[in-house]
Amino acid sequence: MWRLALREIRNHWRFSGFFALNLALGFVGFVLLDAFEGSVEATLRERSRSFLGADAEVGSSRPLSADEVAALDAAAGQGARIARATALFSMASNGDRTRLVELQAIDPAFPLYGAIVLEDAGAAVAAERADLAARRGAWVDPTVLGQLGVDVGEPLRIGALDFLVTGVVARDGGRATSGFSIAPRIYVAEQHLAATGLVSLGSRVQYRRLYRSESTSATELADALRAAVADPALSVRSHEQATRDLARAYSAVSDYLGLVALVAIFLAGIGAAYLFRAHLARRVQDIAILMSLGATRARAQRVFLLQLCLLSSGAAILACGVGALLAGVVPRLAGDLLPPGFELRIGLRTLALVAVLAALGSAVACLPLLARLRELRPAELFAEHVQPRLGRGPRDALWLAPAIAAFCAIAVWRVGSLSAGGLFAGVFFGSLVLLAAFGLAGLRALESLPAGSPLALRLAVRELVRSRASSLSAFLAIALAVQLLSIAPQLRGVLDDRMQAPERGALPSLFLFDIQPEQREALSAHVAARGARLERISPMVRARLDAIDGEPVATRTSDPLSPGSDQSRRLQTRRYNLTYRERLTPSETLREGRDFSGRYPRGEGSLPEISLELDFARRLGVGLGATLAFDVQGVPVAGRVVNLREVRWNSFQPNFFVAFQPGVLEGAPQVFLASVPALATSEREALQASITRAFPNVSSVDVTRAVRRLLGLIGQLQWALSSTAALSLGVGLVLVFAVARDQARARRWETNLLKVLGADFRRIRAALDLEFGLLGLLGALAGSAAGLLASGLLSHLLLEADFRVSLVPLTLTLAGVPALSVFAGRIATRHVLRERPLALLQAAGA
Amino acid sequence: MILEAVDVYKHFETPGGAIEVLCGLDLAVARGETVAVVGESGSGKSTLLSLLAGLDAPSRGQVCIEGRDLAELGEAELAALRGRSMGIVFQQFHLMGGLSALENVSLPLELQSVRGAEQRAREALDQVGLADRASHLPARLSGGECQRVAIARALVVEPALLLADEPSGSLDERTGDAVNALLFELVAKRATALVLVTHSDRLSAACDRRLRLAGGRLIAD
Repeated sequence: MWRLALREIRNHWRFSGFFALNLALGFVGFVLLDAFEGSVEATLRERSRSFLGADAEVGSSRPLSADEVAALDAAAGQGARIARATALFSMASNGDRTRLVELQAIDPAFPLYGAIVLEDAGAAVAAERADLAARRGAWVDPTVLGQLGVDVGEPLRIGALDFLVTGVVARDGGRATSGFSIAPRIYVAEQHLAATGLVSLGSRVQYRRLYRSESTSATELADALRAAVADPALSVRSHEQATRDLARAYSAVSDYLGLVALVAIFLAGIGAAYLFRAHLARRVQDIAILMSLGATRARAQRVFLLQLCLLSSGAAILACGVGALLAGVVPRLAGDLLPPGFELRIGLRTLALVAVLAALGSAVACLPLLARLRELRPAELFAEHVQPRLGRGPRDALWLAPAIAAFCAIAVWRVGSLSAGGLFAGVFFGSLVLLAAFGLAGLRALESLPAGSPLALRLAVRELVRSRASSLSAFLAIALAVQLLSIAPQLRGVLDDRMQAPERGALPSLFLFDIQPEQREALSAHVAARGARLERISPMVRARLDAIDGEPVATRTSDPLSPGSDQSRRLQTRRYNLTYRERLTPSETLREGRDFSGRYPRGEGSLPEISLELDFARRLGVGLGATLAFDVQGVPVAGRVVNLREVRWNSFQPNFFVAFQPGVLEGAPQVFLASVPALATSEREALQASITRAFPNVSSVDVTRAVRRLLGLIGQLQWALSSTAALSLGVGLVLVFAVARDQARARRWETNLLKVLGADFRRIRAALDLEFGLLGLLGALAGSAAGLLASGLLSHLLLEADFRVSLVPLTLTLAGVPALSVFAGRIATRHVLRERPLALLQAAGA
Repeated sequence: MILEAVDVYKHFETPGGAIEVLCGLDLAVARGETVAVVGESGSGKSTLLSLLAGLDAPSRGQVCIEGRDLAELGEAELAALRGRSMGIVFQQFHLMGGLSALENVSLPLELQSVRGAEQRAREALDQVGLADRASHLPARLSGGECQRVAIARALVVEPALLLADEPSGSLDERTGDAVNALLFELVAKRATALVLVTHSDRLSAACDRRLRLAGGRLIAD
């Protein structure tokens, strides 16, 4: 059987090559994404110690007491190495320009794993660290040089202190990625932090105590540290736990892209089924002969199934090969979105997975065709004018069920969620059905072409209508691919409108935080004196969630996880930013419940009122009437939920998950946030610099710059999305090519007869161009319409934005896809067109 | 007897009603015997051959090859019987276009997992005078050469029974005569039983017996 299958492949190498190419194209995206996931996992796993800089760390928003330090050090064991780091956001300035930076004040032992590598100096060892402390130096991220216009050896003001730039960080093992951060990192020696004046009551500072042990595992060390601390506000995590959240973020992105790649695979499956159907139709007689020579029907089916599996495995290898070639390009294009040290590796696991998917996928896609072999009657070999042919029965459609089930199963597996995967599959098949209906309606409409139409058009339409199955297959492939391709640029247009045009929206220029209470009035006056105004001044109180409906958060879980699991630990140790206000802000919408009933009436015994953000409430598993108990820096404060609200986070205004009614938190330690409405660039930069000079502890984010950065990241993601979708278009065009080639072969006799009857080359070519041009145009129209519909829905439901059609990508699609379709058709039919009609007469006379 | 067909009926259902093609047909062929079956177009000759080859089943009656009732055999057993004990020569040759002459001839042996298939196939091709065309595809062979390859394919398994459907029907007279002569020579050498469907009086006269298919039955002619 192997020999027969291999011989089939060898003897029909054109079909074999085409089939494998079609599948390979469909799987390239999947290969890259699977390899990406595996590589991210491997990188994070290998480098997680470097990312954390330790085996385990203890984090706190307050300095650790001496007793706590002693207990932790004892728990870590003798011989454990210890380091300290303090992190906070602040403004750095060269005098004229200011930027938000992430300040890391480190001790000489930091980090315990990995290294901070400086340009020119290499890994920062004892000499560089001594220099950092002695010269009040600063090691800066390279972007700081450009943003602030400073160089090595020049001063940099941070808070109330001037530092000297003594090094540029070439590689920072502790930076998992710079892609998601809007603040570049600056390292200074810890002994200079106090003098900056940045650490005061209410400041958001993260104190880290890091441990490295040679005698215990990281998990055991983390457990020992956890047991040594009494205050649940201190967070303890091992290096594995630290990278888990990051892995989750990458996983979410690759899951989404994986779904798009899945569509390409499905289209490749349609292409495979079409190619195989055509191939099988040409081989029916041979199969009948095989059966007459002693092969059973099942054996004949197995030979072709084996052929499919072998070709699919070849396609998997080809896909992995192409993926390996592209593997060098992807990291360069994704750039700072990826963890340092990331290498895209396509391993055996990916190859095996793709081979299995390809073999199974093509087998189930071609199952309906193989099943029709059961209707084959080899006895027809004896008939004089009858050729053996495949049967067709009412139960043929049932054989599609395995393919549909397989697609749904893979979608669920990719996303890791039954509901999300099922929804995707449902939407996909819904689109397929709608597009198919459109396609059939289009073909029906073409049938009523007026009789006086040009001959070339009539010939083209007749062929499309006559070969309904193949026309519909090619149409669906193109339409689905176009639909996918059009979503990303349309949504990008909406995002651009939404985020980059302050005159149309209400985006602020500057977002200010860490404003001390006593600075409010002075800061407002300072901003007003420069022709701007301070808005949405909002208090922010740090607190920890202690209990929900009387149940301590430490033992509460929303699913059967044991206490101490990641989820309950996050709930338990996370600091929440509370605020208080009288009413909702313009970026909020009340969804359930009622507004606050004014100021909290002390002494009446009722619980204060709380407003929760809708998604946050859902994650906590609470609704209206729930009671939440907080620890506000040692003082217990409880409240009852009276409303749930939706927040437009992309307004870049001060927004909060939890808001109390006025009269509850005013006495708590707090800082303030505020925003400054739209300003021209020069005004914005000047104002930002003046605020930093006058109020060194106040940090500010240039929202315009941040939005630009965010859009840049979105652009990179969009590139990834469009590339994956482009694979679908490639598969669609391969299918068009296959259809064209088959059609040309099927009507070779007719085409040559036309030539004999006097049709010239140009007219026949025109008919073919019109045929494939119409196919491409119908597909592009339907796909674009479906894509616009999907984009509109996504804009409204996900982005809460008005949808506006981006004309450029739409026009490019409507013009480009039919052109590509005509081109594919020309390539496929050139041999038949150039053939001399004499071949027709010679064939007839044989 | 190598072949026994007893009281065989075969009808086909059509929208207009059932069409009886064979009505109580009997046939017995001994080892090494050559039998010609003649009849007009539409008399049921192709149907008879398909029943004898086990490619179709009678509506009623029994067909036995080497004493085994075909109706009692499963698909695998039937295929194996066909591959080992029968050879078929079609009017349109029915060679597999993607295989060379040698590969076409060795195919029945490969299907039965016979060792030395290629060597035996070469010998068979040599016997039909096409040893030098072993690597050629059917498209490069003439009609007569294709039929000779088909004969070699049918006889390479050394079947007990050979079914031939108008072996020279698609060939010109001279080529057809040559092919027929070769067929009879090889059949005689192997003492293979032959059931030959033909329109040709000359060809039917070369057989041991001549039967006419008429009214759905075989009668001595």
